[in-house]
Amino acid sequence: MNSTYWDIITKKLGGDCTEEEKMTFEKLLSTDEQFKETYNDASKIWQTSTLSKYTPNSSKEVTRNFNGLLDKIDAKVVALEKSERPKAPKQKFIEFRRKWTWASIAASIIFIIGFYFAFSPQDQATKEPQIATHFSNPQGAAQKNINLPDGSTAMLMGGTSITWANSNTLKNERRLFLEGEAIFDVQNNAQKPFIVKTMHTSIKVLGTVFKVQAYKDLQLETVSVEEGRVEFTSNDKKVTLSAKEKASFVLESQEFTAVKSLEISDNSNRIFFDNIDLQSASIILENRFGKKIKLADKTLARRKIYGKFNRENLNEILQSISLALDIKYVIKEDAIVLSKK
Amino acid sequence: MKNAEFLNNDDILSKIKSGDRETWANFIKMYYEPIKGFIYRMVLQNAHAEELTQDVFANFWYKRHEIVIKTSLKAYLYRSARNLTLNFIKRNKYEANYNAQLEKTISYQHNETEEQIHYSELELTLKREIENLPEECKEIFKLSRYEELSYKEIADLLETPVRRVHYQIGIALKTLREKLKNKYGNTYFTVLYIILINLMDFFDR
Repeated sequence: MNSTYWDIITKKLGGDCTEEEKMTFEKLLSTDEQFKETYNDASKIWQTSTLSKYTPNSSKEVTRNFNGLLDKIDAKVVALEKSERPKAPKQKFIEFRRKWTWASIAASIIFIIGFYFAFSPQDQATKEPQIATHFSNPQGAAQKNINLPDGSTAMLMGGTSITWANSNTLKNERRLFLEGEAIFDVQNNAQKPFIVKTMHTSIKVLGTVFKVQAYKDLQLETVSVEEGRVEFTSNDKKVTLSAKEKASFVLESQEFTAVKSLEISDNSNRIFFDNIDLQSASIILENRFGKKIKLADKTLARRKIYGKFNRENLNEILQSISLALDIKYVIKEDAIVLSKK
Repeated sequence: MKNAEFLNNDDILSKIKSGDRETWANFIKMYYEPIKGFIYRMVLQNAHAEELTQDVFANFWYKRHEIVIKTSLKAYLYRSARNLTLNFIKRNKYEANYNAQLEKTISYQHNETEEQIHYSELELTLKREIENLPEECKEIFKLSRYEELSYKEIADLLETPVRRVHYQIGIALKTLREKLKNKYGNTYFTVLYIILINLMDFFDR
């Protein structure tokens, strides 16, 4: 078989033949036995090889969790925009170099940079509107109060980030993406519901005070309502919470827990473990205190814990947990390790 | 996706450029899984594939005003996915243990009936031989067969002439045919044929 034969077979299989090549192909197929056999073999390889690729098995995820995905992509865009920001407009002024002395150039650049920063908020408004605004509070940091663009406020715990979708893209709702834990005090606006999206659930309100806990890797997401009413949904399931109520969404079962009444400790910024497993408790502590926490024994992960902590002191909290579960903890350089006694 | 199908590449791009969120959402719906599959086949880990795919789309939105389409949006997306993933692999000195993974994904079929073992062996042999092709040849063949890109799109994404793509696909087909023939003789192709017919039957149902 010479290489022009293979060229024609390749183009034929890929649908890339010119009219002339098509004719050559038909002619070869009917006259040349060897060509025919080769083409038949090649076309079997061609078809079978498509079947032999492997694909990740989670193809239903996209449609099921699409808004979460969209918000994650938006959050990444915001991160990209932020990393680009400090661009001082230096180059334009190089042309003036000959006329001006070095000192005046330096002075003018400083002035212009100052000017740039002083007016950058307006600058943003005149530039193309951004699709989202990003707020975050790093792991281990103290609580931080922020004002959202609609006049609502939020208190972010350590290890929390919020991406606010700007309203020019969403006319009929206020929407944000949350990872971590925050208490919201929502400005009343019946025309524009306020929606908190997390990785797995969605919380819809008109105007109230409530808290959402949805840390990355946590096996359940919890909403506690202080005032007003809240719709807590995931996929097609829904729970409506009234004032002084709370419920959680459990990832493993994809179900909501029963609605419980709120305890006083629930909506404060204090740490409160309402019968959650140790794995989840350590994720919350990691975010609050910015320290890595490891469980030396896998059986520990599922042990349940209940506790209210009035003081934000990691040592004291670890002591009470250890006492309650009859385990011990060791503080190492890179992490705190919990293990059986 | 309904209306996106009737839009051509230029329409979709200009709508995305003007900030149309609905087109953007449909665009992601349409290409998210294929791109993720493509990246997955390079890194072989779902979590990495997921993260990198989101980066591809975030970059697309971020750079949307600078995007110029040569052949198709699909080719552009695949090129961007390929670059990001190759960077990721280089940066992390990441080495996907392809062959070990390959054996694992295949072994699950082994408690099935006699024919299916035979079938999976044939399939496995073809997969292995594809992996054994020379580097450039392998990449082009996989882009064509696994990602279902046209020769033009492959040429665009690898920044290589189309005739180079034709040539490498020809080499791949020729090599695969020889290898399989040496190993199994002509029966191989008869069995492949039976598999194909059965599969079509299966999809028809």
